[in-house]
Amino acid sequence: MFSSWQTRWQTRWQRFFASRSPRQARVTLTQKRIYILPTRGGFAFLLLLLVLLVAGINYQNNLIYGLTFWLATVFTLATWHTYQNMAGLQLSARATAPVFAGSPAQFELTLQAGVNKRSLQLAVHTALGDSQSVAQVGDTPVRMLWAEPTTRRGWYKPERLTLSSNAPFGLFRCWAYAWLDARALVYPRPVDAVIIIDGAGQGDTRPLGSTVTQELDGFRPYRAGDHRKHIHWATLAKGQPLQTREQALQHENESWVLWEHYSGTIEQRLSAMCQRVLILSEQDKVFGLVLPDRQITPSRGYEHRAQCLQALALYGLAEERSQC
Amino acid sequence: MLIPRAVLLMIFGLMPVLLVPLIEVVPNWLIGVYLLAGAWRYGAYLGKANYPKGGVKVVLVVVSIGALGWDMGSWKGLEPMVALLLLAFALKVTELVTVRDTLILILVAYFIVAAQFLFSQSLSATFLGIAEIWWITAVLVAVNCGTQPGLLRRALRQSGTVLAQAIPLMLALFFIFPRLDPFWAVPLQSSGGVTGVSDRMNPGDIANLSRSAALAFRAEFAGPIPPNRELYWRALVLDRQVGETWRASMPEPRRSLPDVSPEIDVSITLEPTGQRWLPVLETPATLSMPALIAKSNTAFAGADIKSDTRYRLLATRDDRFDTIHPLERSRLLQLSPGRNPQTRALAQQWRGQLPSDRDYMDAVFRYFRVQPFYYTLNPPTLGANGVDEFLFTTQRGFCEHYAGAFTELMRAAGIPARVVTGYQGGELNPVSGAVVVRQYDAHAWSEVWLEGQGWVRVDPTAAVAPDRIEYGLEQALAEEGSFLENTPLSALHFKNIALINALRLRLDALSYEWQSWVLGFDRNTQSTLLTRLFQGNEPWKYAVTLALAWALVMLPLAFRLWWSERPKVSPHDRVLGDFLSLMSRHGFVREPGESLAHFQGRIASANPRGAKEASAFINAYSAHQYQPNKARYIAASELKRLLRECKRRFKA
Repeated sequence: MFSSWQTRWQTRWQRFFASRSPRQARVTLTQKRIYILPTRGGFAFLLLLLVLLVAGINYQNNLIYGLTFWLATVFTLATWHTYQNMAGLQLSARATAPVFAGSPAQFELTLQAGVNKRSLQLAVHTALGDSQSVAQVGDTPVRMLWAEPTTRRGWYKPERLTLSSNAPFGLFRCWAYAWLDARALVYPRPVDAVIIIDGAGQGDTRPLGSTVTQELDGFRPYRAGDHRKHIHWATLAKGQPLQTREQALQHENESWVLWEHYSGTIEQRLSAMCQRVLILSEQDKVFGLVLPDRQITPSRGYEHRAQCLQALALYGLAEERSQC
Repeated sequence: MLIPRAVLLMIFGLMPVLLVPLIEVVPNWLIGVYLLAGAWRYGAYLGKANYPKGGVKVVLVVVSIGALGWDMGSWKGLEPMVALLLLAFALKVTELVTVRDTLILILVAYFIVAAQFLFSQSLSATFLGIAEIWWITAVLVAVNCGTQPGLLRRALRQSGTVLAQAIPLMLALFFIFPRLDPFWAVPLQSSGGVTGVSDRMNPGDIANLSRSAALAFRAEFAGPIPPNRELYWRALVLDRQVGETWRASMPEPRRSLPDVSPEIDVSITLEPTGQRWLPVLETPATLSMPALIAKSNTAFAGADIKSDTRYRLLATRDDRFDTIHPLERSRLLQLSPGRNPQTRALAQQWRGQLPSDRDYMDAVFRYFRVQPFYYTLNPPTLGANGVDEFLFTTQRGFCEHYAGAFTELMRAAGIPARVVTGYQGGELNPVSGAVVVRQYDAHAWSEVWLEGQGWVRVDPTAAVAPDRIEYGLEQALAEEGSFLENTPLSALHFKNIALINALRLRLDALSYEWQSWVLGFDRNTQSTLLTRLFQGNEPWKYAVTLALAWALVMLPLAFRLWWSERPKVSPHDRVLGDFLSLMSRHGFVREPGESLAHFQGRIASANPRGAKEASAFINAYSAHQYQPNKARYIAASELKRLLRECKRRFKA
């Protein structure tokens, strides 16, 4: 009974907080976002004030009165100083790299202090409950990484971040929620699957090896981006600069990853296609991708692979729906 | 969270500052406990000692609290509580690891500062307290701001800032907060710290007291200040002789005086004595604090004076209220049997030869003056028949020797007499106008009952060392050079150096002002002050004052907040903003991310009336913003002028 009330209140509060801080690419902490309450230490301090006041009254001691009122005013001023410590802080985030569904999406948080300000002793809590602390955000921005698990393909947006700090007095805790408008691309989870229709249509995915031209066309100096399989390691062993074996691309057959070749639900199909794309690009083969609403012309390389995987990840997802 | 190293050092620095001002009221071995606790924690910091574990902790707590209870005798009163607080602080230091530990330590430290105020509210104690609060708050800041370079300096600055910001509201609260009656009776100190003249007098006691330059009390006269020779501050009347010791008997309450017009009006700020007597002058009529006024013209507080006390005394020189019962008379003739035969024989011989008590008294007085008596702080120790020895052999003594011997001579001759102890004279501080009485002003004299005259004050010391009464102890001992010989650096030695003396008097005046103000600010003073200040005492005025003080504290902070959070826009950009809002009023809304040039093109293609002017404005702005080498500086006023032209054209 009690816990159900608690959860209901919690959800209500969360809705309230969320309504006050919409998702933004860059969140600046201001009065609208920063919440403040006394810490346990703050309540202990209040108790001390009460005891001091009673002592001042009972002993009719003006200096104890003075001490009490001084500390009481310091207590109220601590609200301002604690707020001031966090105010003006800017948060922004970006995803570090696309991930496959099921593995955690990693984001990079950038904390930047306000103009001519320092923020001390910040703690960043993710919705999952892990937290990291930052001693100081000063002239230079502070970057930190956090990860959140993914389950589905598409765009993944991070959950709420909570930024909190007790500095400088420890009597109050300031905190702010930030829903940052970063998104990580989540590819379908790669799954091995049986190809149901083999050899049909305009092309197929033939077994490895049969299309790879083994004949050597020559060597050229290594260029960044060359596949490691084409590097002629022997020259390196001889102490010469890296050489890349040039193969006749034109002799190689194109492969296609076709929607129709796979069965099952949409997600199963996409997962299987994803796995196929991964295998083909691992083998550095030229391949194209055909989805019901899209066709990607055969090519190879990292960019191509990313393009294909993105197409798989976003297949059938409207932009609005991709917010999860 | 663990604490930074600097915090540990700050706490080590705090330990002696908390302990030393209270060392007089707690057992001395707490110093050892503090040293051990500090060393232990330092050892743990170096990795050479372990933090006390569960069992060790229990043993430490039990043993030290047991020792405290055994040493202090009882848990009643204030000192055991203070000692316990100090002990708790030291024990907590040994297991200081986390931020939470430090917070507990800090709360205890604040409380110890308050305890220090209970024992002294002097100016120096106030300054020390302020410094301690600053330091403790800095520890609070340091432990919550984490490790960073220059932590100590930053923490002290932050703590100083917040304490300074808090002053206006603190003062408003201080003056306005109603002074309530105590909720329950609180015990003050139960023992220790007894100073000043005591209720028994042995030869040499007052001489010992006179070696101290400690403050006894300060007195501020409402009228003219009587000359020094009339300032006999009465503390106690000693009317019983036990062996060689004069003792006070239980004070008998006196009925209130009928229709007197007190000619002496003096406010006295008494330092703690640990005793009940209150110094008074002549015949006390009324005291502003609850006190017992005894028949012997002395006054006693309801409890031991354990903290600074201030009271106003109205007194009269009218002595017609003195009475003596027959029963009392015999008590005032009492002498310890079998002692000082020579003295008593001499007394009876002289009294037999002389016609009246008065003549006899004068003869004794003359004896002191004519015989080679010597006034000294270092009298020889006396044996069982002390008075005999003093009168006929050594003839060297301090005031208690003279007063004791004189009283004995009177009683032996059948004249009721008693010893009065207290203080004599004092130093007028011309800066504050208060008479400062120190322990070395302690004095003893005699009172003799003469039929028809009542009690007559006789100061035999005046016969031996008239300077003592006229000019004070220092003059009287000038020849001997024994004045404050144990404290060669006391500022009182340098009275003849004008600068030091002026400084000393000014400092004394300041601390007196402070003390009389801080002690005197009670409910009456408060209501007088507030009524005068607010022309009445309506609650809303207090509320308004508090609100104003609150605003005074918070407004500058709010302003700073607003200032730091306001968007920072250059004057040129502000004019651009005005321009863009003008354009949007006329249907040209700049899209997000749209370049000014594109916007300009859009306006031009729509070709409104002010297209040319708008174009000129954008060109000028772009020239200011993007021209690589500012060939011509375009002032914001220039942009404003162009904007005005745009407005005119668009309006037309």
